[in-house]
Amino acid sequence: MQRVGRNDPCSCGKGKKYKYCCGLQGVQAERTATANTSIPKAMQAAVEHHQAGRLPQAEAIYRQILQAAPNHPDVLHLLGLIAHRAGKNEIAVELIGKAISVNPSSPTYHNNLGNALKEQGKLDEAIEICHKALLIKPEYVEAHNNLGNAFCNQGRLRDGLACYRKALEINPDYAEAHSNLIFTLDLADTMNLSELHVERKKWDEAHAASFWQDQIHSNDRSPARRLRVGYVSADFGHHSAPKVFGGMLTQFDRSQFDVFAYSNLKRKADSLTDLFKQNVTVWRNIAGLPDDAVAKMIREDQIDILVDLSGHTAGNRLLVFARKPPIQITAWGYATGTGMRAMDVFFADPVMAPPEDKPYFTEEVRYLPCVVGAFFNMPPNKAPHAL
Amino acid sequence: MKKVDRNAPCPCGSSKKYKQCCGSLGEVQAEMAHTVFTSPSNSFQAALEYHQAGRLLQAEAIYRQILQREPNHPEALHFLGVIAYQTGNNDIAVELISKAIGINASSQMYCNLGAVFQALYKLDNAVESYRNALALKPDFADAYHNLGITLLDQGNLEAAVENFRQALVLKPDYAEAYSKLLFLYGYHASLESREYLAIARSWELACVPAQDRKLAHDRTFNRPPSAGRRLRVGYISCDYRHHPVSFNIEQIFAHHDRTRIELFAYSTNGVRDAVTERLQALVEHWVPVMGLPDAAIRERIEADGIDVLIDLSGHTAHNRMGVFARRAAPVQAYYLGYFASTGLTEMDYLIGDDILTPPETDSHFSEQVWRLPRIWQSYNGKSDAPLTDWHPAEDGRIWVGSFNNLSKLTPATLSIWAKVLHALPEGRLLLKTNSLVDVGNRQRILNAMSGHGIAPDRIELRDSSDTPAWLSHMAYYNRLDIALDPVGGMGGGITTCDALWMGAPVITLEGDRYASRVTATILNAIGHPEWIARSEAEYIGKVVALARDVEHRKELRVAQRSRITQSPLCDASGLTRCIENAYFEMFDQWLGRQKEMHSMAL
Repeated sequence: MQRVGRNDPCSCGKGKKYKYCCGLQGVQAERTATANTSIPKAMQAAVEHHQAGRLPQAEAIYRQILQAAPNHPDVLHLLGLIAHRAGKNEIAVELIGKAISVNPSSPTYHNNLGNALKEQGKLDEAIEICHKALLIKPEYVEAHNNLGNAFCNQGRLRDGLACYRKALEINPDYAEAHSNLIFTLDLADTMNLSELHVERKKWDEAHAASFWQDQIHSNDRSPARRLRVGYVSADFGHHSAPKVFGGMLTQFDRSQFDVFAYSNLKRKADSLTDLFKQNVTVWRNIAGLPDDAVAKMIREDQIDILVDLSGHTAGNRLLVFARKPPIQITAWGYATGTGMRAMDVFFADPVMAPPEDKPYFTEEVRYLPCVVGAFFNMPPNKAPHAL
Repeated sequence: MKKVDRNAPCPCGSSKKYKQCCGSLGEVQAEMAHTVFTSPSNSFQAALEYHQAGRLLQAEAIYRQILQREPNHPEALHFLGVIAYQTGNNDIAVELISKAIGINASSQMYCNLGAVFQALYKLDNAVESYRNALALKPDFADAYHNLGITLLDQGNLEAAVENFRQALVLKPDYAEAYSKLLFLYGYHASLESREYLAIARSWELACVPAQDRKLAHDRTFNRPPSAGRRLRVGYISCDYRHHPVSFNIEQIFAHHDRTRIELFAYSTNGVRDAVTERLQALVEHWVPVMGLPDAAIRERIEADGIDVLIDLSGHTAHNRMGVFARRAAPVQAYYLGYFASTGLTEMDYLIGDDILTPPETDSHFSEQVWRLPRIWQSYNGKSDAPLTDWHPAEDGRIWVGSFNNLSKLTPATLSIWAKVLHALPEGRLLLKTNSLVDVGNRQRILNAMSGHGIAPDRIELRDSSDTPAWLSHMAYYNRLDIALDPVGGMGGGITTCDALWMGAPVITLEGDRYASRVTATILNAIGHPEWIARSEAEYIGKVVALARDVEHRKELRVAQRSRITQSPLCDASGLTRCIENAYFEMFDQWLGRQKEMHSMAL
């Protein structure tokens, strides 16, 4: 169990710092704080830790509650979510499955179980569980979205598209499902470039346009200083996307640039993550942070150029870009544009995006004087693949 | 073709008299021929309206007119094909709809073509058509539903279930698909009972508007006490015809005490046969309600002043759960037709018994379980059934097997039967049911069994072609030494009784829920609780022990029918008294609660 920092809020939930609260009474006190309080109170404390991202603290209290109430379905479910977050999907499946056998009428349990199964690659089971979530709660948009993801992972793109469309029919503001729809449409070959462009612009109109505001940027204009470049991605780890953009984070000219990495990585860090962390100027974790907070962070970091590495792929933070902190580029992570008026430039080359396709981009298509991507592979001797 | 009376309702379903509807076809066609439509789209619209109103002959006349002017009008070809299908001319339907698809394919055309292929039992073609429909329109819930039905016919249960679920994802209030899914989950006991119940409870949330549920919850009924009057009891069913439910309910209708019960039967299905005629003759009030919406049926039942309304369908096909969800009577219960919870808030009771639905199954049901003090159903053993003419095989072979339908033969069932055959080297497996006529189905069974190490030469598969008549079907039980009940999901009901009636012993594995406890309660009622196994090993052991005890089986066989006749299983009159008492008690309890609430309000 990870120790609580002295200045962290105390896990008993009273809202004081640990050192002024249970920390005062010695090491044993924190255990007592949960052991002696009622389950609902302990639960509240654990959930607060959980929501604040202090997973070890949350997990410790959940496990204590389970000792008193081994079949507490919410606790089983929440522990399962923590396991899922840590990449331990087998444990997640077991825990959430147990929660469902105690309380089979929770659509949330089903949906999250579906998610964990999908991560395990058990797609048929994931589909079955998402279906059940939807039987219990037909308007459950996240379950429609998850179901769509499971279908797409099976290569059943048309079924996936139907799910995303259903989610959007129920909640037209659901940007994630809309991004998934766009991503899948790009794969599915059911629309031509012009129609795809229309769908992108729809996305911008529905989710992003309202955040548009002209900002005066107070960035230092002296030409001699190093430019600050920010990269935003959910894929700073072993994944196909870094094969293209990896060089930008590791081999940049340190005399000319400061590189900030804004990581939306939702799974556990791996050896490639560590490599990026060691090489960039500043590493920032934005997973779970709201879009407004990320945009504010980027402004405060005085980023000159912000680069999106995701396009409409999973885990994108295009809604941060909608708030337009600085000049913005989309590149490398996705082969087409975003459709956003807030995005300034799309990096390409004349083969990937021939001149006649330029009308289908809202961004300015700017050709690099070389092929747009250079294959990046992790230096094998420095940090071997974690197995 | 049977001639329809001029004043009878028109068979096209328009609810007009025949003479004013299709009966005037000659005139209609003449009229149509002279009708001048301002444009083809105008006339097509008119045809469609006739078609949707069920006035097929008028619609057909206009479609043909359009095709005379424009022989490749795709929708006219398509809907003419639909009419051919609706009137049973399936080959013509395939031709017309295929032609329409060749000109300008639509998802609807493919879906309808699938339905025609399904009617022709060309299942592979049907599957392909539905898949084509879904390729054009991936959110086509009806195509998913129909595809599910076809896959079910092909014995592909898992894929069928997924298609029903997907239909519901796209159209959550698709009551038919939802009921079908619940039926399959219940029939195959593929979910934990609690999970089944959670999904069953969601049926009404998806399929009945919140406003209607609220009205149902708040609805009040004024009824005088039951003392000194007859109780008005209504039964709703879509199975008042040759069907297992009617087999049971006919006896109850016949034995209902007219001085205690005023009997109403609401029939939700227009299909009629000899059984329908008999049932109609047995009830005081026969009320056909087919084609009416649930709300209208509910109003009709309320107007009839029904005290106790009984559902005989559960989530089986053509059910009217929507009537019960909207509350039509002060007491609502379901009986016989189904084997798991309906999940309805407004369904007050489920009628079972101590063995079928013991207290530990109470948590499986949203309904309150009402246990009758005897077996919950009766069996109408036919005295004209052939007398048992069974002899042990001279070669020492023991024929074990089942005449249950194929969908009961779950993987768990085939697995345990294979174990029986391994434990009984002289044993042979005899399976007989209609759908074994299909080569694919036969091969599936043989493959599954050889997967369990049972060679095909130890298995005999029969369909009904050897025994077209009921008498010969019953006589076929003489070939069976011991009948085996399917395990895990839905077990035998009437099939169990038939086997027993023909003298065959039946071994069952008592399951954890209604569906898998039917044979157990039957065996208990006829005084053979020793044929009920509590574990797989016990099941196998009981079959083997009985197989080896030839003398005992000889005694059993001869005496069994008279034993059953004298048992509660064949006491329909006693059953009906119990049921009537239950209805009165349910009603009196309701009245008691009314008074309580009334006095609380004061």
